[in-house]
Amino acid sequence: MLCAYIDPKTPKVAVNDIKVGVWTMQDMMNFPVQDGYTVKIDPRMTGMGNHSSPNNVNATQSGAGNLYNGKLSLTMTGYWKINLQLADAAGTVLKGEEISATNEASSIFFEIEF
Amino acid sequence: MKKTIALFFLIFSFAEFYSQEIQTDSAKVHNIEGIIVIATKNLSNSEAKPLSSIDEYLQKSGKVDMIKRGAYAWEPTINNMPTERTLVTIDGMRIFGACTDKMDPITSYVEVSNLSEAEISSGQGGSCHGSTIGGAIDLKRTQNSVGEKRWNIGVNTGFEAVNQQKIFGTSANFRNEKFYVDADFMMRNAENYKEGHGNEVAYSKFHKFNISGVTGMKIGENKLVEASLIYDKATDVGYPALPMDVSLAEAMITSLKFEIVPNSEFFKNWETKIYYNNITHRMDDTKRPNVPIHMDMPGFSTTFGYYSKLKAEKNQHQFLLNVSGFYNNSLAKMTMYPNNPAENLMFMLTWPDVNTLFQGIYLEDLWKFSEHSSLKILGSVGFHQNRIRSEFGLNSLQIFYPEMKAEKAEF
Repeated sequence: MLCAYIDPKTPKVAVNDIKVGVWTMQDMMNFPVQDGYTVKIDPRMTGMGNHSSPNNVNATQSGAGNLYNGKLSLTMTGYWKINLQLADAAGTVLKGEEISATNEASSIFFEIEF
Repeated sequence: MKKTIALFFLIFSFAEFYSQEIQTDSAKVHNIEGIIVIATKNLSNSEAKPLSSIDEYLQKSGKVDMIKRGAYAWEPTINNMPTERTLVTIDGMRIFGACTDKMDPITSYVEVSNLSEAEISSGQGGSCHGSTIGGAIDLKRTQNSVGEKRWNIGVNTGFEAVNQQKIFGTSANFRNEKFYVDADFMMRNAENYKEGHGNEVAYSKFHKFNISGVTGMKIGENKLVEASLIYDKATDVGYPALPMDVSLAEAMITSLKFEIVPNSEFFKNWETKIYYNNITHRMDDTKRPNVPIHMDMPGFSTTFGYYSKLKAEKNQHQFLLNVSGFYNNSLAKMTMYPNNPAENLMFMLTWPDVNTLFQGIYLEDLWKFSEHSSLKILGSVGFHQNRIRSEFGLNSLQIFYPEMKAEKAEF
């Protein structure tokens, strides 16, 4: 499985449209788009007590074969860690962990600095 | 140690004594027969004004309480309602503090030496200069006027042992039949406060000075123009109750007034004023150890405004009409410095370049039945508009309030 960050290329202090791609590895040469999954996003500011932001929307597909779209709220400039959880169509989390008081980061994440 | 033991025994025996008399019940009902509220309405000149600070002076009113975060710049609350629900004006001028965390109440920009009285109105009775719920304080500065030629020069000085506060002030007034001028200067330097046991309270010092000038001239039989200026600058103001201090609080408050005393049975006084003020406020946490993250939080507030007050009298009625308006621009920034210096600065706007426009009409009728009783009927209509000029600020607020528009207006 491959999960890649596509947009926003120039993140803003705003609700950004986030675009993510999810592919599965068929063999060494072929990586078809994985359909029907959900990329759960949880942006955190590690430099400031690992605080989050409100009104984020998990990235989902609008149709088979498409990229995944969601909403990413960034309340200030700086370094953000976008913690991810990849869930299949049934809602089972395949990879990534929820952020809690004891768990500061997920094992899969994107990094943004602006 | 001895003292603690003695105190402990005392409490113990007291509790025991009680338990024999009545059953102790924490939810016991007390019936209060009545409450007598004693409150002074106006703080007048006759009230002794301590040289210590304007805050202590205001505190004498039963309706005003102070939220104290340090040795200076206390936040006044009227009927226990804080700044956003009350209205504090200086000679009728609207001024907005430039600190997002209310560390610079308007009262901190006036000195006690040039204050003549504080008019405190409770509740909506204070809506003469704008809308309010809690009440209003109008700080009136000493009013000189034309008259017989006179010079008046004063020097006052004081020292407070608890924080080695050195107070020094001078004032000079001059007047003749056509012209008057008042000038006032006040300086305060305070070191850290020492509590009763001699322990020093860290971050409680402050330095400030205040210059105030008023000059007026008669331009006709019953016409007067007056220009006034207040410049107040406080540096290194400590707030022991907060995790940060203030490195600079600077205010420039100016106004131009035109007054007519008509030769009329009905109209008594017509006063029109235009004003401008500008406040800069910088918070500073660089002197504090162990802050989780250092941040710079400067704030800027600029206000233009006017009011026009017409006073009239008929029989037992005293009428007051006030048309007033202001325009304010507030901008506050916050930059946070990550502990990892390789990371980018964290930046946001805490006041996103907001414009506020207010326009209001106020009408009051004070009806005096007798020496001791009167009825006050008042009405006011106001139009209030807010607009966010910064797109950056609007976008970041829309994260929290997705439906929010840049502009909002209401009556």
